[in-house]
Amino acid sequence: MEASADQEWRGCVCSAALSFQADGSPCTARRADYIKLSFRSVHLYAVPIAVGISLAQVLTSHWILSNVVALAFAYNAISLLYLDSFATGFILLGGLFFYDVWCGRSSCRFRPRLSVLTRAARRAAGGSLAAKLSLEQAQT
Amino acid sequence: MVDVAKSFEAPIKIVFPKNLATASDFTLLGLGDIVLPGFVAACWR
Repeated sequence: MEASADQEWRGCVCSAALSFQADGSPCTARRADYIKLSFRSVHLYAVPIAVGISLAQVLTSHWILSNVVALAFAYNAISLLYLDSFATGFILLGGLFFYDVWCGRSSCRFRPRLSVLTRAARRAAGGSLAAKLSLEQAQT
Repeated sequence: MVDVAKSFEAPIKIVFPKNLATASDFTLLGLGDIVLPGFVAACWR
């Protein structure tokens, strides 16, 4: 690929045909764009690094590589959506708070760290047998 | 519930060992605890 450093190559999968256009113009209007890909020269260096990290994570499943891949997922999720106002964010966090409180007491299997909450609550309850029993009843 | 997260071998959590030398006993952090405050933090931009 003889792209210069600041030139952007766009490719569109237009009706199952991959077409590259050097001027960055989109595909013609009468053909539907199913997938739109854009390549910059940064990707020449970034894509091999990303593929290497992913392959190393699959092959070794080392915890640092797993953290890198998980943080990449989190970064993608943050950049995929964005909130329009702070009120939405605070409603979201408040809902998450009550979800954690409610789901930490009952047996919710979808969030893995919730039994940590249950354990912390049980530890905080200490020798109080009634609190312990109510927590265990709520868990089963 | 922690057993579910530990048996599931996928990068869906941030893990850190309590003992760095042996890397045996891991603490977990779910990705939702990063992403949802990240949405609120992204509002500042």
